[in-house]
Amino acid sequence: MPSGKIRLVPWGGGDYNEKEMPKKRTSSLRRTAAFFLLASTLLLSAMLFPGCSPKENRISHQEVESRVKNLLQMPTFEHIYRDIIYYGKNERFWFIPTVNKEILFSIEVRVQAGIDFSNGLRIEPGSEGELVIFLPPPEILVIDADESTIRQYYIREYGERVSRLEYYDVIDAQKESIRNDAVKRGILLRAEENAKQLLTNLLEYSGFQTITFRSAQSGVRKKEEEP
Amino acid sequence: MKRLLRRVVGSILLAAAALAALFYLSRQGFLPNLNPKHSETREVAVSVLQEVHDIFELHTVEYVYKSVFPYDYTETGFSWSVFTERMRRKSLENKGLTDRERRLMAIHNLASRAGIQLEKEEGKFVVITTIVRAGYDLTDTVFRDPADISEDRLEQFVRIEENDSNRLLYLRLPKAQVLEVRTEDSTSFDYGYPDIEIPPDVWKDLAELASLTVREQVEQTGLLETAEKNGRQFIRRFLEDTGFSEVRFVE
Repeated sequence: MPSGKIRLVPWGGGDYNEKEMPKKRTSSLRRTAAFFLLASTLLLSAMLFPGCSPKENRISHQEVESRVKNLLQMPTFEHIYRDIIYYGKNERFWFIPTVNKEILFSIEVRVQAGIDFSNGLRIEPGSEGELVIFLPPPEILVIDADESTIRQYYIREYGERVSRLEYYDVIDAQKESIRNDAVKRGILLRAEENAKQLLTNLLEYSGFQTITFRSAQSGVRKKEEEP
Repeated sequence: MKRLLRRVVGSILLAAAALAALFYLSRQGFLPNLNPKHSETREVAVSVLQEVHDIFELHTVEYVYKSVFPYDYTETGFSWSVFTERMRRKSLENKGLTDRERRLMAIHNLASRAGIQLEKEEGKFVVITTIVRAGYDLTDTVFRDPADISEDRLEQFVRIEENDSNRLLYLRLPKAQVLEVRTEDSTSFDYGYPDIEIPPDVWKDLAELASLTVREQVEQTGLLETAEKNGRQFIRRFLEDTGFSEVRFVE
């Protein structure tokens, strides 16, 4: 073998030199080998890592609607009141007291707010994977007074007893005042915010990138999700 | 042509050998896990914890707790006349007070300062409104940054079992806790009870007493259980909506 020649050792063994294997052909074979090496690596990788290939995660319109409705069946914010109810009645004939009755008791009342989806919920596809949800306004869904939690502090009955009807009347009247108090404390706002956040999470998880909320009643609403 | 074929076969063998080596190294923990199913499961587990975190951030229950001073600070049927008589005797005999007696004496003194004579049982009372917010404090929990936690730690909180068409999720949730307690100032406008004049310093002490005892009362009324039950309902519905056939909570 003449000195100064570059000695190449092929994969399959055997000897050759530059003279025997022209340079052009050598690089062509290398390219082919590299191509096959790359191709086989990619093929095997694709077989081993199916998760890396882009997957279509989008679900059908009916499925979206069903998921959204299913989630909105639950109230999205809740207040529990332990309220104190006082009822007093005084009657006099001239200056002589004829009726003097008082009652003081506590009762637990649960107030739940959320979105009533039967009130105009609509879901429409927007542009480029956007989903537009027309959301009905939040409302108080339940005000439930639990009579088993009543604790009576005192009762005074002079001239007349506190009737069962009066008892229920004051509880009913108190429910209305609790409803107003809950609204004043922002229960509707929280219920709406929570509903939007929950739906955004759910739909992003299901593959949607942009979710826009609009009022089911009055056009565009404030919250628009960032892409 | 023969050489070319040899090179092709050699390339494939080399690629297969390289991948086998990568697999081996990943199994030994030197490389990120290359088991696709395993890494996909971890990805799902991490995203489950992230979703749970987001839902828990939202999910709170507010408890508007009104208590009646002095009635809510003693047991039903408690007689202040009997109590003060016993205290008078103890004082004459120079006997010490128990913790409970000391607490009741403090309530008695506070009532006197508010102008309520407890022994007379005249029916005077004060209603104090305390707001208790219950929910989940997820600071320093695995729900905060689930992507960064180890495999073992992740499995303590979320585990996914897949068989046939069922996808079962086991989830360990944190305990709900009282996040905030504050006492509201009532004005005669929104105070719907017979008014009694209370000096500001007495009102301040009453409010402090109410916020101290409200935590015990909250435990008795099961507010935390309600917060937990609601939280679980949300999580279950959410995760079942996203494709799990069943969500089971582990203690």
